[in-house]
Amino acid sequence: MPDEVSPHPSRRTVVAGGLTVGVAVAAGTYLSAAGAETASAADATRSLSLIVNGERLKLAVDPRSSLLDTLRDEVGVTGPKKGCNQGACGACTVLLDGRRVLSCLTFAVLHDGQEVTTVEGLADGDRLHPVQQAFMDHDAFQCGFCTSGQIMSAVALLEEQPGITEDRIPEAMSGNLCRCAAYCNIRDAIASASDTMAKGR
Amino acid sequence: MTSRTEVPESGIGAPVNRVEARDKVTGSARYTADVRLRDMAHATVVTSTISAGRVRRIDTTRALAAPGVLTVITHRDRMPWRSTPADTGYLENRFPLADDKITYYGQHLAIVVAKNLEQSLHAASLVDIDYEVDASVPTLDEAMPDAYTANGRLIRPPWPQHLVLPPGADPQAALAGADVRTDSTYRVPHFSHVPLEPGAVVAEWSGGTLTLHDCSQDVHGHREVVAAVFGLPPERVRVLSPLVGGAFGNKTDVWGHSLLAAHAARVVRRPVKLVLSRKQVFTSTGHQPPIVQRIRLGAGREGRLAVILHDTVNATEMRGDRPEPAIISTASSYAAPVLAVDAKIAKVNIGPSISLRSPGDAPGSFALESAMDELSYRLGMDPLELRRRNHLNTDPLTGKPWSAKHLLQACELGAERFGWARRTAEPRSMREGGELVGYGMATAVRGEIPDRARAEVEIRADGTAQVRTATQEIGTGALTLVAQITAAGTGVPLGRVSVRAGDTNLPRTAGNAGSRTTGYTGSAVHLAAEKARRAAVRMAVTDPDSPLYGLADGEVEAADGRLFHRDDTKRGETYRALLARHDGKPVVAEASYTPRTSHAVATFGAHFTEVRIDPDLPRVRVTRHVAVFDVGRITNHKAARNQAQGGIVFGMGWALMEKLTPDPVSGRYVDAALTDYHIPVNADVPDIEVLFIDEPDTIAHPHGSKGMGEVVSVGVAASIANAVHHATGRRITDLPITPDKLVG
Amino acid sequence: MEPFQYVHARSVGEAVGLLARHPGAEVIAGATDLTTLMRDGIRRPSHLIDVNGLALDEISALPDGGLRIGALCRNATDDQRIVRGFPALVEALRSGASPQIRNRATFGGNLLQRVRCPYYRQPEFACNRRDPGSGCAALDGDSSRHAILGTSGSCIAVHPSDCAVALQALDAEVVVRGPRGERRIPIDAFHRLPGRTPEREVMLRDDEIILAVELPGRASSAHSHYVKFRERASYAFALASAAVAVEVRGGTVRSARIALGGVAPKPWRARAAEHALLGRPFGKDAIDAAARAATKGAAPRPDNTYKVSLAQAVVQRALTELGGAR
Repeated sequence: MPDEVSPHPSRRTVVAGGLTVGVAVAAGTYLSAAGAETASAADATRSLSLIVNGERLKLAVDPRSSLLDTLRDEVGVTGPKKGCNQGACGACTVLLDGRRVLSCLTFAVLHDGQEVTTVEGLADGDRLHPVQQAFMDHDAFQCGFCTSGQIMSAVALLEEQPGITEDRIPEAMSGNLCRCAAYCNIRDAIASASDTMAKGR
Repeated sequence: MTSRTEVPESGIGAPVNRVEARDKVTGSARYTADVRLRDMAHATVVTSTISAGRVRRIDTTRALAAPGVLTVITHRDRMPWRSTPADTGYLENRFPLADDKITYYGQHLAIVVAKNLEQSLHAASLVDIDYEVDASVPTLDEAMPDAYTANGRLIRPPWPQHLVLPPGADPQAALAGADVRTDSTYRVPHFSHVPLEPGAVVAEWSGGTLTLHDCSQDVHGHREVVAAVFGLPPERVRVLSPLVGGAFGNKTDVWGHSLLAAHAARVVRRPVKLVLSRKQVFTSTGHQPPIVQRIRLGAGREGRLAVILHDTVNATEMRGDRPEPAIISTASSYAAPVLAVDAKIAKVNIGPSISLRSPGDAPGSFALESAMDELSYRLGMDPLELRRRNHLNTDPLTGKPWSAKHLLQACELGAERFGWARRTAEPRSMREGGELVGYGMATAVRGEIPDRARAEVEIRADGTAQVRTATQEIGTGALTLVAQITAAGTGVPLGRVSVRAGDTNLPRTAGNAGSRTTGYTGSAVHLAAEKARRAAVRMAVTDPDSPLYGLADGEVEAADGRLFHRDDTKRGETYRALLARHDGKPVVAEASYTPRTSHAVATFGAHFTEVRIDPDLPRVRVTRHVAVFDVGRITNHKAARNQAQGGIVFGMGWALMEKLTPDPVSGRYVDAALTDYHIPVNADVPDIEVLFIDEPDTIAHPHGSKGMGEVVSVGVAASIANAVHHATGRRITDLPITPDKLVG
Repeated sequence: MEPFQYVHARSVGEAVGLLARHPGAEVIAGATDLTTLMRDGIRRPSHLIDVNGLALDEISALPDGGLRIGALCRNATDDQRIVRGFPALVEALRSGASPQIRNRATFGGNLLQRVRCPYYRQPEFACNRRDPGSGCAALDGDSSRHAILGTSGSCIAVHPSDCAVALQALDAEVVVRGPRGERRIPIDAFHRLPGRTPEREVMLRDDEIILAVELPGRASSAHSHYVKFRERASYAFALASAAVAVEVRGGTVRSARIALGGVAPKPWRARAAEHALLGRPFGKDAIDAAARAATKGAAPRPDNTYKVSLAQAVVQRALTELGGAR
């Protein structure tokens, strides 16, 4: 990718470290999923099939590997984040067969054949999911580290309780910590996405 | 002067989305732990389970024999470090694995590298350590009798640790002669930064050059230390900071794990990734130490302060002296004719402390603003009125007037929005639905910490612009800020401005700490953008082929990627057209910024809090909070409001739930986990109303804007504690205000 | 984490057989507790027996009007038969953990979750529950969140479950199966007090698995309520909680079951509080008496005496709201 800006502002990517609205210098050395070393060097791997964001994958994983580590290190999907690895922050939230779960609190081997959706699998091509768009427009994050988890949790919430009233959002989103504390904007974004989705139905 | 309530639709102040917003909502935003390199190995640090003693024996045999292990490094077999902590400015006064001595729980004792993460974690659990355990000093209470004044050899605080104003005054006599006095002691516990992103680093050697991907608030500062430690010239070290997942001060300095990862990568000749566990974050990347503060106030019956005495003792690590600057703003807060402040430290077996969002002022304001509330009750005076009567227009600490100060206006505005007049002064006098209702307020001041900044702006022949500066994006909106300022300065539309940042190959600027990004880096970008525009204007007015030829420079303005006549906007041309005629070469301008010092520069704020407390099940619920901030001109109202709300919630966490508890026997932390160290969740947070005075302070900085990441947290804890007192009649002087302190 | 053998059991019989053959084996289902225990080196199973998919997730009606809830039923359940017939249980479930965790956590696993005592959870501290005979670091340490009832000189940890507290008030039975067949364990007997053997936490044998939890059809169950008090508004373990189930006829209390959470090493049946209600009009006086009696026998430590007031207050609140809801 050249060190240039796409003329379309909404398509602009910002890469930090070097943070570039456009591109990182070291980008060529970052690996895609296909190039990553798999756990084949491990002593005892187990074969596993997962459907990640619609794609069926055959993996060989260390049975000790959490679903989160498998997604990040083997599948190369790094939207889900490891904030605590103890089920206390929600940054690793993904959808497992459509329901929100903490991917750090389970082993990948328990989920042979199951379907996982991460934040990377939400947009329809260039069209963002209404929750993603609302998070952008309402500035529902600062550092962004919890955002993938917040968005996945919110997407699931609006499936669980379509048309949820605003006063019930805080409790329903309390499994996702945000240390920057963009909580007010997160609630506004979810309420707004809920409206958008209701209109779309 | 009135408060601006209207928010501009474009340009400076416009509530535009963050430039990296799309990346953050699609999962493509890259943080350090997301960096994956070919043949990358995974490292785990092994940490001490005792807080004082030494390693008698460390056996790595089983770890080395475990599957996938590439190396295990301990103090016995590390390579020599090439410098000393003092010479490099390394925060901890000891390099990792320096020797066998242990002075705190969680100290790094070994690093294990394996082919994959599970192997690395497993092998780390197999490192067998035999300790010789010494008696430890686990708590500040135990250390208090030995408190002393930091000797200045190990630290160079930029603030006086002992000060009497005016010099030679007798504060004790002033206190004794005062009509009304207060004397209270306030305690804050160990607080932790708890960014959601744990410390992470990826180290890669190529030839003799080290590339370090490190979540950093200051890549150039990191590089200086790392280069010195490895005996390399700075240009042989490159530090890249991808997006940072929150920091709040714990990523300002290089920590041991980054040095260890770089060391290990050299040994195994592969890139090495190391991510701290959440538990290790609590002990490996600093904290705010516990502090005991005594405040004595003397005042006349009419409510004018006669004297302020503020004495503090904070815990510090065994190997270094780090006074926490809780007294830093005491002199700059109120008009007391006599003032005495004194900061001492006491040695405890804890790891090194480090700045935590509004260091000094967050804990200091809890004490001082609580004491002012107590005084208001002694005087029978409204707490807001007490602040009015002791307002300062000149900073007694420096003797200089403030560049701008609209604190009284902030107080009036906040009081009106909050409905402060509805408050009945008597504690426990307001109730609703079985709950006690309390109103509290506090003010905030945060002095700026001067720094230098540099940036480069380029206007290109394709009509785009790029801003380059080594700032980092830690969540404060730095990238958006520099893009907006570049757009405003060059007239290139925001959507066509790109940003490069977070890389030591870019111009060195202020670290993203101490509220310095907006004021300092923002000014450098502002100056560079102005300079680039002026250079382009000069080019146009001197180019016979330009429609602007012959105009005076000052007659040309820029907007929408175009230069045009101020009075005849149709007369003009685009940057694209202009630069195409000049070989398509970009206009590049670099600027550095050093602030002037004719005035004192600070940011101010006023907080108003409503709490509701069920008397039988007394958890403090903050149900309303109104805050008004005086931080100069707002660059982006959307991001600023978000940051202010976040800072207020940060203060709520300190006030109501956060605490890291040392086990009284072993000195280990009992609650170094997010299941136990509680930070606020969504349901804890009420709607928070934030207002800005939004008056440009061009004496402080040329673009009129000041940093606000810290002042928004200052005073929050006191505002809440004062509301709790109003609701319950209880003055809680030790944070956090947990239910156990309100029961019965 | 230590390596382990992963086995996906195809039947309950196979799972029980594997447990019997491998003394170091443990059952895994929702995994929400075991993953962190293994990561922290507190549990080191030789085998993980995956029982997901064994059709133990159904909820079915019992002839007496009660319900049988399969051990693998997830805590996120919003089954209307529970909502209407056993409100305290749903309230307890919804107050526990977070939606993400409730989507995975199972009823069986909830009953078997380990204590949250930080001295248990961090292997560098002495803990009799984790390493029998090593001592209890909490006794000389920070015990501000520890138990005030049912403690012993070897352990003062509190049981962390909300669900199990409600199950106490609803008089549940735990149905288990081992090599010798099925047996039923009343919920009050299922969790053990620490005594001198805090490492023996439950009456479940090592080669048994939980099949289901059965809730008997009781008049009081539909008239039940759960109140939880914690340090923050959500996503925290209880400082004190109370589940109450009261049968009132003609204005008089005919039966009452009251259980406390967050204050004892097991879901604590407050029998003295129940007695204080029986036969009396269900009003403020009886409720006050029950609240006072709820902590009978409490032996708080210097740093957790506040829990006595909190425990009484949650009982009072739960009963008052239950009365008000009539």
